[in-house]
Amino acid sequence: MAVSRSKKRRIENVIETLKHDKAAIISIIFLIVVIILSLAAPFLPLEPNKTDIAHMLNAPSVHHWFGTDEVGRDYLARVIYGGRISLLVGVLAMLMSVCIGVTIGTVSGYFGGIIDAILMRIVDVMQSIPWLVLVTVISIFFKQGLSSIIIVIGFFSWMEISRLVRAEIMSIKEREYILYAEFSGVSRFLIIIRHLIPAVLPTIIIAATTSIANAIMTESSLSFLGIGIQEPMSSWGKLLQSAQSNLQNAIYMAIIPGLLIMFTIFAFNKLGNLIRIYVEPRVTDGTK
Amino acid sequence: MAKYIVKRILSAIPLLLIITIICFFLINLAPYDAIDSMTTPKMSEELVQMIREKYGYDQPVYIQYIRWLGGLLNGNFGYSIVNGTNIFDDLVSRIPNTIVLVLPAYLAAYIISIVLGLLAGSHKNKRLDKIIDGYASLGIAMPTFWVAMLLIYIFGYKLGLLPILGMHTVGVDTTADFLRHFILPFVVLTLSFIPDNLRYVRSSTITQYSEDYVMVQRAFGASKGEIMFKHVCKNVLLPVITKLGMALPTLVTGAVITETVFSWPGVGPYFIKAIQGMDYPIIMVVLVLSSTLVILGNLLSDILYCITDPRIRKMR
Amino acid sequence: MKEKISKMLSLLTATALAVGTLTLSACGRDPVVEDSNSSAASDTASSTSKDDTFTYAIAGDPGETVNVITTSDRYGLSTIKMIYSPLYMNNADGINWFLATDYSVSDDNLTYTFNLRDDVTWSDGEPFTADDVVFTYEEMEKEENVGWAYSQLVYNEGTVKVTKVDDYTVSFTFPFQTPTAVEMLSQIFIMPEHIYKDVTDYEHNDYNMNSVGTGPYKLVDYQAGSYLRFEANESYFKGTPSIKNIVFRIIENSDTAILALQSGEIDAYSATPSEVEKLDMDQNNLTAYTYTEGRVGYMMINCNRVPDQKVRQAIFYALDKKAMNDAAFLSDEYYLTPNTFLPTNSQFYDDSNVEKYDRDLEKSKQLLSEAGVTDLKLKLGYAGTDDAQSTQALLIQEQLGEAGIEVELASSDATALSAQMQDPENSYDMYLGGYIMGIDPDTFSSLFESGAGYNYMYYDDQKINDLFAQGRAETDEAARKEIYSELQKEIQDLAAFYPIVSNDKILVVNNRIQGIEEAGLVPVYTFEDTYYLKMAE
Repeated sequence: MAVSRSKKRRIENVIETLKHDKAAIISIIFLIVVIILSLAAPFLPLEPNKTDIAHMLNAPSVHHWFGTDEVGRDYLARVIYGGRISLLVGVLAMLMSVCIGVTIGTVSGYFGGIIDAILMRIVDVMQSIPWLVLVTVISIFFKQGLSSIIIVIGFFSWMEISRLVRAEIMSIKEREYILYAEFSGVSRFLIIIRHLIPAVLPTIIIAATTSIANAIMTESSLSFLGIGIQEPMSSWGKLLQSAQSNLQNAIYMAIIPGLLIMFTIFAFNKLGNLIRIYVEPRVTDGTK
Repeated sequence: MAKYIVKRILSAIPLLLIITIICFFLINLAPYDAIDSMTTPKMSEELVQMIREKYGYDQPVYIQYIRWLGGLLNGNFGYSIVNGTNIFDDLVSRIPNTIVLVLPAYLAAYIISIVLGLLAGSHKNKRLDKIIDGYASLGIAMPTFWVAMLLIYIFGYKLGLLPILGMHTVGVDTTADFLRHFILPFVVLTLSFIPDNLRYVRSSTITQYSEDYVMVQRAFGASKGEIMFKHVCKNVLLPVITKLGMALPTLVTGAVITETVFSWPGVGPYFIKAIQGMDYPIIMVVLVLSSTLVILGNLLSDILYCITDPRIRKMR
Repeated sequence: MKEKISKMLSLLTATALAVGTLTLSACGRDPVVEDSNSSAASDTASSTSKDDTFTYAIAGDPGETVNVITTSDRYGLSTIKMIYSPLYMNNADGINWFLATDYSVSDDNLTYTFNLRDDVTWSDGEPFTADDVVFTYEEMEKEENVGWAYSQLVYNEGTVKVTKVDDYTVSFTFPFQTPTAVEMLSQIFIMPEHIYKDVTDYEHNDYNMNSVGTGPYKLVDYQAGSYLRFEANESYFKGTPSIKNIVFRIIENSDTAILALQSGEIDAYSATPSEVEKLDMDQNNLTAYTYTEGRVGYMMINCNRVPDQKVRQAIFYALDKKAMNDAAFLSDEYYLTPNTFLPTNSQFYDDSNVEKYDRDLEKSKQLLSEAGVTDLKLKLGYAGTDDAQSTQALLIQEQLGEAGIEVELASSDATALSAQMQDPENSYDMYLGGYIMGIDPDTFSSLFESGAGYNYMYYDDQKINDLFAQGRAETDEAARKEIYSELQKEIQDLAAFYPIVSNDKILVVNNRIQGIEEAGLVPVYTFEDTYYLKMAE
């Protein structure tokens, strides 16, 4: 009973926030549209890789809503397929960094001692290298392509999550029910799976939404610098890279993907806030 | 306190060593090494071997590492594979250009974000706060290079007001010319630095205002300004000042993208060019340099914190 | 008679020499957008003013290692051309004399004797003599110096012997008879013996940036990544050049270069056809000068990975080079379509009997099924910074897709790609590239002979080797022509080399600079002699 009441109250909190925050509503709708379009792209009559030499760099028109690019490909199709890639990179890289971050954070926080010291030194080292430098350097050792981008971003952005999780685990493990479980001989592995991870889940979810936003931004920067996604695949960052050489005569090529990146990241951050309001009622209590 | 600082400095040294070892091994993992680019398939085995020996590549890896590290310490950063220039000289000519751009931008962003953050935090949920917070949320979501492209389009192409490349017109050496080149990258960089710090200041201002002592002060009839400047400000700004130390690495690698878009002759384009040309010696020097600065920056930040926070001072 | 590398090849193909700035991409269009690295640095001498300065945008930094022995990249050589002079230049329009005045050949066709000008002084006042010439060629012939022309002076049969006859006469003795001798000795710039005599490392020394030369200009200021500033050499043997200062401004971002050209910040830039289309020539007071570099842009198939000739032919029949060229170079105003390995302007070019592989999807599919190949997947390597190659790659992927062949595009850095291509075990099935070779067809042998240094197709074909050997030794012009016609046919039939385009170079110049035609637009160096450039009145 108590649980469901608090759940109800949490949902009310979220609805209350939504009422006051139009940007949040728009963000959610925007995200839903982008996700649906990305999923449905293969079923739409779109050919992102079909070149058309007779219609290169055409401005937006009825035929091509977003115009065409420098080899006559339909820009609308490329933008939609680009969104697919950007989101895919965001989600998969997030999953990867969350998995690594949660594992390291939990192990480090729960076991403490020498394990904790070693793991946290590793985190220190990895955080000591500016991310742009680190990711660009690593990316040249991989074969360029979609999977390496995901791996590179995922593998080098888990440090913050692991710190958060570790801090939380350290406080939770002192709680009575954990101590009791330990006392009654439940295996450490089970304690981690059954008790610790569920307890830090809210933190993980919030970190995950931020992580998607960051991954999308990182991918677009890498692709913009020419070390990310490879042709003919597009992502929003990649589209901006080619837009740069056509700024003067095809500014729409720069405006569209840029706006999409901005709104998507904004929307994921908003989503993160809403989730935080849901899982941490204190936040709303403070603001109301 | 001195003991604490010494301890911190000592603990930074192994971290630095580990970073250099990682960097060095990354060089050795590279898909093709410096020798490949110095030789051609037409060269005889003996000649390749000669070159190998000349550059010390015939030695065991750990000796190569020690030589390399010794070189770094003596300011001998090696030569670029692609155009044979001395990396130390290259950096010496480029780092000042980067600092000239980044330092003013960072300071401007720092001041603007503190002012806006305090304003927003003290007017929580009012219109002003919503505008400032909205700007911060959007600003954080905007890719730097996109902002740069839009400004180039508007001021460079459409209005033709400002130059869009470099730091000077060749042959013209006036401050006015420099400033004209400086404006766009400076604005882009400032805009990109603001949101993070702004959000931090805003949220800690909000936290301070919800503290009990503010309530007590109010009850005693303290004016708004008094609360703001006598109490809140101090508590918000102390941690913000200590964050300054962490900005140290920004001075070198903080503007890679902006510099690249504007062809600013700093470290950024140099680094990106090296990445594209797989110029490993340069990449690794930049990696070591920027990591070192991060470690030093954190160290500095800790020390600042230690100096500014009386509680820590007493403890140690 | 086997091992010869053409001169221009070492200039402009894949491999980087010692400190190699390399050049596959330099052969193609100027690098694009994302790598940019330009602008002026702080301290420029104030003596320049716009009225007496010609600013030419180059897309790469020659670096401070520029020297006549090892420098082999486009912009390094353009710099060399400003500071130094060769004995003569041998280009498509024939021999153009600089430090030498004429030559004669001995009766046994082995010794070439050149008469030198006796009125030339180095820019430090020392007289130029035959000693400098002997010194330069001999340094070039030392293996440890890794000179770019090493392989055209040193052969398995022996080394070309350089002899000082008197102060103003030099003779070169070849170890065997060859019709290519004049070509092999050309384009080598003479350095001063009194400056370089004790130098062992040509790339790192105090003299490269404080150069003493016999060229029309002197290098006075170099800012890495920004610009090179030259001042007229008053002791140039043709007289003092009329433009006082020439600045090579390094602008790697083509978009920026176009804008700078419009604003008058730069006076000249090598543009692409699509950039030329964007520019309003009249309004901006510009003129476009088109010239050919004899470049051939190609796709090569790695026969180690695609050994079946039928499969290779199937690939070729699925391609449509006209579509590729129209996409990359806009209209046939700006390119020619070669059907053999020679550039169309070569006097040996002959496509009358060769297989041209006009697009025929049916034939392609039929060949594939004859070869018993299904689900063919190929990996295509190309330089991602090169706009033209990127466009070609996209279209190749699409065209082969229509024939049921899947292509993986692997864009790479030009330097990294060529380093990988040198490995016979590399993982690419096909690569895009371009070369600018000498005017003699023998200069192409190192690309096409089996086992030759730059044969990245890795095939083994004795007939091609034999034909090259015959062509090299044949002194009768008509017979030579026949040999090379046969050779062009043979290489086309082998189906490993697919010539795509022979594109023109377009130099867009502000009208305030005149004398472009007189200065001569030539491959690689851009201007044959900047002495002839002048300001419009």
